[in-house]
Amino acid sequence: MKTWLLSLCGWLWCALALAAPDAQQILAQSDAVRNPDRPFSLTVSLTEYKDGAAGESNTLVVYSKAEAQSGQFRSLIRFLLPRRDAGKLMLKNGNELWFYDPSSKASIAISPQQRLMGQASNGDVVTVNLARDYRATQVSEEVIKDGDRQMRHCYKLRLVAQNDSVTYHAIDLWVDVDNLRSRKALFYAESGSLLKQAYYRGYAQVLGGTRPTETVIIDGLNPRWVTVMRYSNHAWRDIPEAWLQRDYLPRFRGE
Amino acid sequence: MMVWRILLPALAAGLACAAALADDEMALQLADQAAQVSEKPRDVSVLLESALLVGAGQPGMQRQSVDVRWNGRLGQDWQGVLADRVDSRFFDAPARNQTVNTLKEAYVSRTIDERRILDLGRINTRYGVGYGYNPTDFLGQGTVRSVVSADQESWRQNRLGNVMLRWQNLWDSGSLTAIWSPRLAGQPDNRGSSPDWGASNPRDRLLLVLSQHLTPTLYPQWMLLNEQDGSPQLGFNLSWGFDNATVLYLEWAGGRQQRMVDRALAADTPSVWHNRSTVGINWSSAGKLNWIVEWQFDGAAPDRQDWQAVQANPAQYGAYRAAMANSSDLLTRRSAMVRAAWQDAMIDKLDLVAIYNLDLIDHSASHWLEARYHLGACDLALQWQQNRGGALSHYGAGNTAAIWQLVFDYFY
Repeated sequence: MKTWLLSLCGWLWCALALAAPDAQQILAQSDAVRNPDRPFSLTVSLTEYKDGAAGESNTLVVYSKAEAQSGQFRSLIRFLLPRRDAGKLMLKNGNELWFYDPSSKASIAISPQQRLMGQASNGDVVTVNLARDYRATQVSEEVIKDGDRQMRHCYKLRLVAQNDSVTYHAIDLWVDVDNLRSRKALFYAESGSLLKQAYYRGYAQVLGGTRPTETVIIDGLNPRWVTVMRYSNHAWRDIPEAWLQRDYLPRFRGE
Repeated sequence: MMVWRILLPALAAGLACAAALADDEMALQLADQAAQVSEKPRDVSVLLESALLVGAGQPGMQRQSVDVRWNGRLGQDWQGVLADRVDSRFFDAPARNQTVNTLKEAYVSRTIDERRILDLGRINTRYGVGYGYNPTDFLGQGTVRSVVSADQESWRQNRLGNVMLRWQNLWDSGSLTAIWSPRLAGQPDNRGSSPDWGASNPRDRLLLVLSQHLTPTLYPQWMLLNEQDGSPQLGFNLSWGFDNATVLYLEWAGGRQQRMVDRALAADTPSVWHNRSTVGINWSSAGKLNWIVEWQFDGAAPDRQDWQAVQANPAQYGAYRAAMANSSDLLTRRSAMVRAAWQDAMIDKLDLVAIYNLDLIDHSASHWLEARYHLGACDLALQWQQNRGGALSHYGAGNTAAIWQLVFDYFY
C-alpha cells in the first residue's frame, strides 16, 4: 500500500511538472510578442522627466533585423532629434558597436556602456530577444497593476545573463499569463542593485501583432527620474545583410 | 516592546511600498501627458555659429560661420551630397578681416545594386580609428583651410574632400573600396573663395581599402596607397571591444618615405621605410564619463637629436614649421593625448571636455577645455586653450598666453 501511494505521488509530481509552463519558453514567447519575425523599422521618441519637468528629448529611427544563426537582432539607429545630432548613426551588432558622424565622416568603435543619449542606454533602444542572452526561471505567479493601471495575472520570471554582451546582469520580468505580453520589468546590476524599472504599455496592432507602443522607464536610484519611450511609424523593411557593417554607414540614408 | 519590534519593520516596509507605488503612478501620469513628437529624416542640416575670441597679447576677433549640408535623392538609384562652410573673421583692424569658403563635399552617388556603388565628385573620406592622430588618413593631408578649434575632431569636420572616382563592393562580412583621386593643381590656393583643388588633389593617388570580419567582434581594415612620386604605403586599422566599458584600438601605416624635415626642405635624400602608429584605449564609466588615452608615433618625424638640430638652425626651423602649419602629421616623433568628456556634468545638458596633448620629444604641451550647454536647438560653449613650452618647442612657439573663445551655435 505504502509503495503504491509513493508511486502515485511520483506520477502526480511528474504530471504537474510536465503541465507547468517552461520559464524559458514563456520568455521566448514574450519575445515573439514584443518583436516581429521580419526586418522592420520604427521611430522611437524619448523624453526625460526630472521631478516632473520635461528635459532633453531624442528621436531616433531604429532598423532591426534578426541574424539567421543566433536569432539575435542587429540594429541600425539613425538620430533625428535633437538637431545637433541629426544624421548620426549607431550600428549594434552583438557586442560590436559603431558610431558614425556624417560631419567628421568618422566611424568609431564604442563600448556598450558609452552613452549617446540621456538616461536610456544603447541597449534600451535596440530590439532584443531576451531568450537568446538570458536563462529564465519562473519564480512565481502574481497579480500586478500594469502600466495601463489594469490588474494582470502574470508569471514572474527571473532572468540571469548568459554572456557579457548584455546591458543588464539580471532582470525580473512579469509576463501576462493570458497573452504572454511583457507588462513590467526590473533591471539589476551585477552588484544586485536596481538600475531601472520599466512598464510596457499601450499595446496596439502593429507589424502583424499586438505589441507595446510605449515603455516607461523609472530610474532605480531616483524614482522621480522618468524616461518615456514611444514607438511609432512601424514599417516592414528590406534590410540587406551588407548594410549591417561599418563600411556601409557613410552611405546609409534609410528612407 | 516585542510588538513594536514586529510592527515597526512591517510599517516601514508598508510605507516604502506605498511610496514606490506613488512614484510609479507619477511616472505613468507623466507618460500619459507626454506630447507626441513627429519628426522625419531631413535632407538639409544647417549650423550657424558665432564666436568671440580673446587672449592676452593678441587682437580680439569675432567669427561668423555658416555650415550647410544637403544629402538628397536625385532619382531611384542616384544620391547627391553637397556640404559647404563659410568662416568670416572680423578683427580690430578691418584690413585683416577675411572670409574663407571650404567646399567640403559635392558628389553624386549611383547605386548599381545593393552591393555595388559608384561615387564621383569631391568626397571627404576619413580612415583611421585613432582620435588625435590618423596615420592611415592618407587623403586628408593638408585639407584644413580654416582652423576654428583646437579639438582635432573639428579639423576633420571642417576640411576639404578630395575629388575622386570611388567604387565600393560590399558583401555580408566586409567590403572592398577602390579610390582614384587625380592631380588637379600643384599648389594650395589661399584665396578665400577658392575651391582649392591644389590642397585636395595635389598629385595622382590610388587607394585600395579592404575590410573583413574575421570573427563577430574583429573587423580589421587593410589599406594600400599608391601615389605619384611616392612609394606605396600600407595601412591597418583595428578596434576591439575588451569589455562592456572599454575599446582598444590600433592604427598603423608604413612605407618608404623621406624624413619629414628633408621633405619640407626639398632635400635630395633617399626614402627609407618608416612606421607611423596610434595605439589607444577608450573607456566609459556608467556615469557618462568617457576617457581616451592615446600614444602616437611617426618614424619619419624628427627624434630628440634631429629636433634639437632643426631648432638650432633658424632657416630650417622656419621652413619646417611653415610646411607643417596645416598638416595633421606629428611635428616630432612621439606624442600622447588624453581626452576626458563628461556628459551632463553636475547639471543636466552641460557637457565638459578636456584635451591634453603632450609632445614626448620636447615636453611642450597644449591644454584645451570646453564647457558646452545645450539649450534646445542652440549650444553655448566656452573654450579655453593654453600652450606650454620653450620658445622653439612644438606647442610653446608663438603665444603661450591663455586664449578664450565664446561660441554660440544654432542647429537647423
